[in-house]
Amino acid sequence: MTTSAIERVVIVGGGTAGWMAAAALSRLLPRHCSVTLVESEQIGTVGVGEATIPHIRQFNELLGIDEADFMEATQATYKLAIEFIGWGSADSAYFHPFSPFGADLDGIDFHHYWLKARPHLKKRSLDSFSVASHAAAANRFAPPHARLDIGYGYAFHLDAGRYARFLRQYAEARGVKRIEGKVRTVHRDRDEGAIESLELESGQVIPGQLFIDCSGFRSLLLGQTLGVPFRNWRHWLPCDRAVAMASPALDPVPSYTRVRATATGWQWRIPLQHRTGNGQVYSSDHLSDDEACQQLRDSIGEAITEPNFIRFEPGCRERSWEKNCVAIGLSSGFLEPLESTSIYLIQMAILKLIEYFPAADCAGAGREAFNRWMSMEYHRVRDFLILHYHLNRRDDSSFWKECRLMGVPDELERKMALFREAGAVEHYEYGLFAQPSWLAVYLGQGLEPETLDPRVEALPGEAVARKLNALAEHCRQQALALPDHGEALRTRPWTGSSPATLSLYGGRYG
Amino acid sequence: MVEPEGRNALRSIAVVGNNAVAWTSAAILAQSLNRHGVVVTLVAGEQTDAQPLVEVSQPALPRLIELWQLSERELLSACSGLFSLGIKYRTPGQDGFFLPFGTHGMAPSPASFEQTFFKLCPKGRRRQFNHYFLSTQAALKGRFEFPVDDPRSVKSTLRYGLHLDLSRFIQYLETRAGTLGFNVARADITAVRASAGGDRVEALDLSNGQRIEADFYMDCSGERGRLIGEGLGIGYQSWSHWLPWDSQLSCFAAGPSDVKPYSEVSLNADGWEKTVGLQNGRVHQYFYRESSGFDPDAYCRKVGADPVSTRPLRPGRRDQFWAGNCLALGDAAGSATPVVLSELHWATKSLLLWLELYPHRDNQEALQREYNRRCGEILDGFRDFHVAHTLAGAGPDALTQGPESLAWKLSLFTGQGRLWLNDEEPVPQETWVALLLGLGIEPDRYDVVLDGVDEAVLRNTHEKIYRKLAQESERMPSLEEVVARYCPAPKQ
Repeated sequence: MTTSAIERVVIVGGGTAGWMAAAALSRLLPRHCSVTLVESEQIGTVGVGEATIPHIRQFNELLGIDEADFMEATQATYKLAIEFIGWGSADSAYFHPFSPFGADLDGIDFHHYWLKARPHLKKRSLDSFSVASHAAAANRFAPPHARLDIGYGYAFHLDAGRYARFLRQYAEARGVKRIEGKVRTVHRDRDEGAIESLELESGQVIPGQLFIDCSGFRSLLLGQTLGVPFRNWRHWLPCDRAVAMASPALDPVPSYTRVRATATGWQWRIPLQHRTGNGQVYSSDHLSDDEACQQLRDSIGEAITEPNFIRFEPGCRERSWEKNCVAIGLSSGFLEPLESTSIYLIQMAILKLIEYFPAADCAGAGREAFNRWMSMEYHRVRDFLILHYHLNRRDDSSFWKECRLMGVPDELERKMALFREAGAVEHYEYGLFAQPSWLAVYLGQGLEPETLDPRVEALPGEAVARKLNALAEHCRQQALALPDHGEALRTRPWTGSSPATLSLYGGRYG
Repeated sequence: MVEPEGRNALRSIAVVGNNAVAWTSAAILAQSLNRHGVVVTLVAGEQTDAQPLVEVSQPALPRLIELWQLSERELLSACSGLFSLGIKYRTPGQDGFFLPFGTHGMAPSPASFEQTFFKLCPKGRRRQFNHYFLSTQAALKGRFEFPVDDPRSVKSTLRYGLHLDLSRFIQYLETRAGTLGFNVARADITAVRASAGGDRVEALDLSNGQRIEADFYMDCSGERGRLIGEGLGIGYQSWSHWLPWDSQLSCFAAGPSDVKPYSEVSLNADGWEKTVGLQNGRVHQYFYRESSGFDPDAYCRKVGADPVSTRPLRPGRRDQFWAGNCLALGDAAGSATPVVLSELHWATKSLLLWLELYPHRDNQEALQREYNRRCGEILDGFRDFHVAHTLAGAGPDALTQGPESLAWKLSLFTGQGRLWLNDEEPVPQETWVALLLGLGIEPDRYDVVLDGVDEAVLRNTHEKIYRKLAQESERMPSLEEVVARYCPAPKQ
């Protein structure tokens, strides 16, 4: 380094974000750089992100964590898809799998062929052309083998509390110093305003050069201390409350997350090995906490934990990195648990922090690059989430009607207009959710293109349908050849592993 | 073949122009769309502008030729062609450097290869980066071999472009127009008939009295934009403040060529000089400002070439690349001064994007907007790539009023050693790194992950890689041998 290097990093908060950051930094930073994590047992963690997306496997690989150990420690199950029930219309159901649908034919996107053949296809939804969807529907799982024509990615459902403890062990074994205590005062440099040290209630002072704010919704350093404004997106993402409760483990254990739309929000169901996580997400304008809790109880039957109420505002800070403070996790923003993006956003922030790791002055283009990148991530996830709410024909509540009638961000309006007009999905190279994800929601929730690719439109529908039927059957057979998910969890009956990539779909798209 | 449901599909496309872009576009369209019932007609008038004489392609062109099922051997033989592994640069006051096609192909361990290189190699000597590409090692020894498909082989990192005699390339496509599937109308356009609203082309009147009516029009008429500009009135924004060269000279020096698997570019004070070998001679090009006093005739005499007329360059972009039923391609759509990335490359890339989005006969505004958005990003990438060349030997601070996107890329690269990548980039990340280092733009930092890593271990790895590449390149045949065996031009 030509400028002096950072030697003391301080992390505030020990939830999922705090310990993921601590574990990664302890692995990747040079030895002369110390990492200290301050957390208080009096402050509860939210424990969000029990469902993950395939990128987490890359994080495990980066840290050298063995998948079997990780699954054992976190009581994890495998996840191949999210099933959406009641989204779009009250009787709809579709999978958003970790895979593309079909494969391009003749250089033209597959979904044009499906739309063309649809009138001639019985019971072949778009997800019939995904091995991952078939496997999820049949509670099966195995990692994708290299020779599949339509590959897939996979992720995990995990116990977030156990995950944080697992990473804590990992981090502490690599020299991260954990300090128990609550922050009383944040001391700042008189001229620059940068953070110099944290003073705990015990009187202990913890100096640092780079501070990582993982303090959750409070955003103690970035928001409260440095005053970086919050961009509230509630006018687009109407839910601001959740209540969570566990129920007994499911048998057979599903290899997918289920999210069911309700009259004023939605419910999640996340299967773990030792229990099932459930939650009701809702808008406080439309439902009281008691009503939400009762709705959740009614749908899960037996609860094995007390309800845990969570309040949030959807949105993000204008900048995630200000002066010498980098916010990671809820302190920087929170969108919605709907597409399981919380842990992904934490992971990307950590990877980008390493990529743009500052010198001791914490200045320079790296900080700006980090902020541009994270802002791009938040905006792209945001628009995709808004789509789920906006695209509906439900008439059972004013909640859904308001969502349908609301104005959406210009970028999203543009994307929807393109799909409506020509069945085309707007392309971007970076950021989460590429063409298959947009297709799953557009078509799963009833946005019908006015025209198809004319090259496909001209084909005889029945002949296309015959070809597609054979492909769907092929996908189904491949899925049915996989082991049962419960069996997969017990014995992992396969050898080797598929490469972990930063992709949702097993490598084919971003 | 076409059902009634397809009644709204395009049935005819007219391509306008008589240059490599027009002929290639007609071939691409015919190859992709004949089977969908589309008739492609090329309207090729008199060649008025001087042509650049040679195509120096990126690796995309050989892939396209393969896709057309044309014989690469036959094409190279007919066009006096050579294979190229990259570009050799000479920059003022410095050693040159090589910009290779292909990749170095080294997986991150624990950080990317470029980051380990920044750590090991002191500032001022990082032009050497390009030596860690097999393409460079082979090219500088005059050697060439085709890439292999096996990722375990270091030869899988190779990619190659082509040098083709342009007029012969056009002749070659002309003799195969029937096989490739397009019609040719040999006539000039006397009038472009626009619709009442002025937003669509309805017909073209030709000098032979013929009238061409097509569903869609491709304007490959060069910078004047016979259809898109003169016909539909779509404006043009100039980039001459970033790319000030307004003229291009191309001349040919016949004679036994010194066969090299690369082209050469010199970045001089009065412009850019480019030398491209062919089997039967060399093409010399000069990109300059007319007001600079550069004397084309004197230059031709100096390099022993036949004098040739020059053509104007008009760096900039069309306000819309696709308007109504007309798509502008190549210089008609915009130009980023084709020193390294050719006009044909730009045109092909945008045409393939159009084929991906592919419209109906009716106006599709959202589709058009998406094309124009993405195409603009492609051209911005070409522009930034070429504007970066103007910094040769001067350092990144010389970019005082460059495009914001380039200024941002450079500041992150020098400050942090990282490349900011946009959704559309003209070249792969490693090529950007090789170019910037070659131009003397060097980062101050490297990946923090490498801070604790033992230098001796890294150095050892790098030396091993270097030796391996050097040995491997020694075993490759010379380009001359490959050409003699594989695709010799007929003796004249």
